[in-house]
Amino acid sequence: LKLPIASLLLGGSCRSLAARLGPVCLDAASFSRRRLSFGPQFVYTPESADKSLGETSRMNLFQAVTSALDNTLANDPSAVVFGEDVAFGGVFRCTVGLKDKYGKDRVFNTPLSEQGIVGFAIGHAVAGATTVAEIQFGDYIFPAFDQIANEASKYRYRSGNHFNCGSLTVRAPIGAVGHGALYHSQSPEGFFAHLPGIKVVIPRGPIQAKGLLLACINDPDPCFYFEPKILYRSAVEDVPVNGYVLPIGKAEVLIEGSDVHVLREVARLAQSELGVSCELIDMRTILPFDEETVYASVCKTGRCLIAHEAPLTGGFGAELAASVQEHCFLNLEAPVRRVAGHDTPFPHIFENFYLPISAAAWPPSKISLVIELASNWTGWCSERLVYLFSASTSVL
Amino acid sequence: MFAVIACGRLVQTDFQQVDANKFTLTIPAADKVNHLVFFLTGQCPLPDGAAAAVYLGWPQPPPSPPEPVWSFIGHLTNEKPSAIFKIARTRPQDHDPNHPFLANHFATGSWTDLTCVQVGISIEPVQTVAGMTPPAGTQADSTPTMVAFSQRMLESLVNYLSSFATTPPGAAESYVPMSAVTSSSAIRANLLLLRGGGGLFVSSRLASSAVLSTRPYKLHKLESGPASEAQVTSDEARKYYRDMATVRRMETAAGNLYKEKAIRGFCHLYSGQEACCVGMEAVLDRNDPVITAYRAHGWTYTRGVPVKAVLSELTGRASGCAKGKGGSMHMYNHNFYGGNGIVGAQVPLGAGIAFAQKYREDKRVCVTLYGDGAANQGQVFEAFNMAKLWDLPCIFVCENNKYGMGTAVERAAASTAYYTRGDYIPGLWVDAMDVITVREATRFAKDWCLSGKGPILLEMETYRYHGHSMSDPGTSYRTREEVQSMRQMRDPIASFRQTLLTAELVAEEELKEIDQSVRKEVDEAVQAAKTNAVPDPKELYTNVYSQPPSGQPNYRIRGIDQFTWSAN
Repeated sequence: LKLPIASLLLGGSCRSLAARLGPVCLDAASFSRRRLSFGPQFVYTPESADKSLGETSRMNLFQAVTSALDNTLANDPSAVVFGEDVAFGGVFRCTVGLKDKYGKDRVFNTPLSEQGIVGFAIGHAVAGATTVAEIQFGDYIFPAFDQIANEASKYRYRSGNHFNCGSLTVRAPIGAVGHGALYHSQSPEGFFAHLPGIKVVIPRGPIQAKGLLLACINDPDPCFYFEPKILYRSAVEDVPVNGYVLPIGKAEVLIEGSDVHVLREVARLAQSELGVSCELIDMRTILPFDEETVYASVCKTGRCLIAHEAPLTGGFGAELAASVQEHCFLNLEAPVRRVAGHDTPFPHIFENFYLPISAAAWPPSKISLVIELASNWTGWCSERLVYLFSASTSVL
Repeated sequence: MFAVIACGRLVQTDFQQVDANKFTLTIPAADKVNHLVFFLTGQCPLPDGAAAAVYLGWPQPPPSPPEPVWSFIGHLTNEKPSAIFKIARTRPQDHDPNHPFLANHFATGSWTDLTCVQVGISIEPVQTVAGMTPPAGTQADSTPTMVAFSQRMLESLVNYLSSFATTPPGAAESYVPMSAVTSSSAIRANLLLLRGGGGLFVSSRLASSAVLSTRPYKLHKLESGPASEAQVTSDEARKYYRDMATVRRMETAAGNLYKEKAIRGFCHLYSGQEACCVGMEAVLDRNDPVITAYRAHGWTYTRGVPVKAVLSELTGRASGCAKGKGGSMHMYNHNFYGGNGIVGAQVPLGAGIAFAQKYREDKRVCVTLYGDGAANQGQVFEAFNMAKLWDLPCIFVCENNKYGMGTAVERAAASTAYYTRGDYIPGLWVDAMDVITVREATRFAKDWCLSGKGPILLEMETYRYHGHSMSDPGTSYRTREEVQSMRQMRDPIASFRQTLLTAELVAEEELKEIDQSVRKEVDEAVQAAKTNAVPDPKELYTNVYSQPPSGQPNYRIRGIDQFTWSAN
């Protein structure tokens, strides 16, 4: 398909696509109606684990995390898990039963002091113990940011490899959930992507969660593991009960028919409505990100769309876009595009507009584009959501 | 032809005619009744020259026979067709409703209910009746002359209206809003006066002020503490009661709205802690800044935000105090700096605000509140150090409600004596379930700061009845019995009510009146919160920066992708 034709097709097809997805609502009544009925409107589509990993059990994401921590505490006598309210099981039930099983010396509560928690965890890790600290919400991690930026990420480097805090893993729930408002919905991974020396990992489902968390705990560098809180209950899969690791620093190409959430829906619609075949990639590790997979895919398809929930300006998508255009310039058919959150604080009442999970939440005066395409299209996803809008004009 | 009313009950007209000129009626549970109103229904008037003599017959406790002993209490005539009688003192002294034979008279086989009273009306010639004197204490105060009555009515009206007085920011004196003057409850209150003959509801027995004692304090690095007694006027008492009742009702309404999903997200209720905000606000004025944490609805109200604006902010309406953009944890008003979601973050802010007051030589104190959970945050101690180093007029207040979310204080803090944790900052422990105790402590603290002695730390030991937030039932880390016993024995509103009634500072009927008007105010606010308009969607993009950011008049907020931006 030549580009000018593609763009015309795009305009028309996008409108029909929009029509299929539903009308665009402008007025206050429908706004409040939608607001009151807001909830995660996507359906999680489960994956299945590699058969070689053995016996599985039905788990959701928080149970997968518990299982990973259980495996760790069982196999590593130096391992400890701590954070606010973890002893009774945690506010998201990620640590249920662990204190009873392993004792309060290994699974314990900390006072309400994030900087203290992370600093204390870094020290414990430097002394050689496997440390899994929990920050109750990703929004609360900022008092600890100095410890992370100035201590954890630089320890190995500044001591000339004399010391390191590689046995540290910090877990935190992130992301919007539908009613979190300003301080229970943020996605801070962009801030951490800027710190050489640490690793940042985000899973997309229970099987991924357990494998990636175990990989983080075993990893010789300090890891920050962010769990999308909306998936805690809604993502259910058959997860292997034994321990297993998935590679850190490797993205995964999700081929049509085997991936998750809205992305799959977008890809499916793109195929059915627009005749476009998409290659979807889940980054899994934000830092260091998998350059090989990314560049190979873009060079193959020629187009790239990046999506994340965090605000647009300075989000991790900017890094990906810059890197992709540098390495794949001659293969690109169109500019690299990003779809992300608004450059505002995460709103209280406008959550439905900030994250139009229900696809038709945008008034038509907004120009928006999700799919820019030709015969093949590549979409990137460092987190879970892609927003689909009605296009009022055709856009390149 | 006769009717009798006991307070709070339906009219009873079921008189049995036991004789040509005698009628009787039974009033159940009369041990709870203080007054009875008798009147002629007007269906047929009394015969000329006749009066209806009213007798009360209390049953006798066993072993006396169960027939009642009749005593005359008053009369009605065609010219005086209604009367009120106090009956509490007519009950025989040895009349114990807890008598072991209360319900069963085994000896005679009959059942005697000692709590019932029989009323007998006997139509007799006026002369006979006029000669009979009722026992002392049965006559309600006789209707005074018009002058005295009007005087009492006006006093009551003034008392009632002055309980609504508020001081707008920057004003030199208090004002009463017109809605209080013209509202139907003001008129109703005065109708009650008329009906009651001027005697019941404006009792000349009520004091205009009383001296109440405060609960004991604990001192840290202080030579002496606040006063052990305080003068409270009846106007002040009404105001405190009204404010506490409003906060309690508003929080209950917020809880109900949350359960109806009209409010979503996070909602932290202040029920049980009302004495803290009302007691402190009694000494502060609107020029003293306040900053607190997320359990802020009570403070928002006492800082002058009407209930309607608070509830609208919770439901995310444009009429909310932060235009619906902040929600439960971020409510603001003049000299009220919120409402802060991040635990402990507001304490250094409070020190900074106090510094601004000192710098501008404003003679104001800044009240900085935080909870027992936040007391373990590092930034709190950084703020303490700066405040003491620079002698800032800052009152740090730790609202210790014994639980930081689900963690009891002993499990989170190495030292739970929060009033000593300012170390070099003098501290005061306050029993914050009593509003007058809180008030005097705040007065002491404000005087301390304003006399240039630097900061002071108050620990308000209080209790929250609900869980940490609406998603926490509040019973997995504490027993229901504990919550119940706090509600029954140490509730700030109930105990203040009891104090006022005992000190005869405010009449019970007035307190009921206040309860009713509070209920009405909150109900109206709930309606508004459910139906008011939501903010315009373009408010998503407003107030990120000053608008527009200086030097960039064409600046637009980016959104979603590099082609989508805010509408302006």
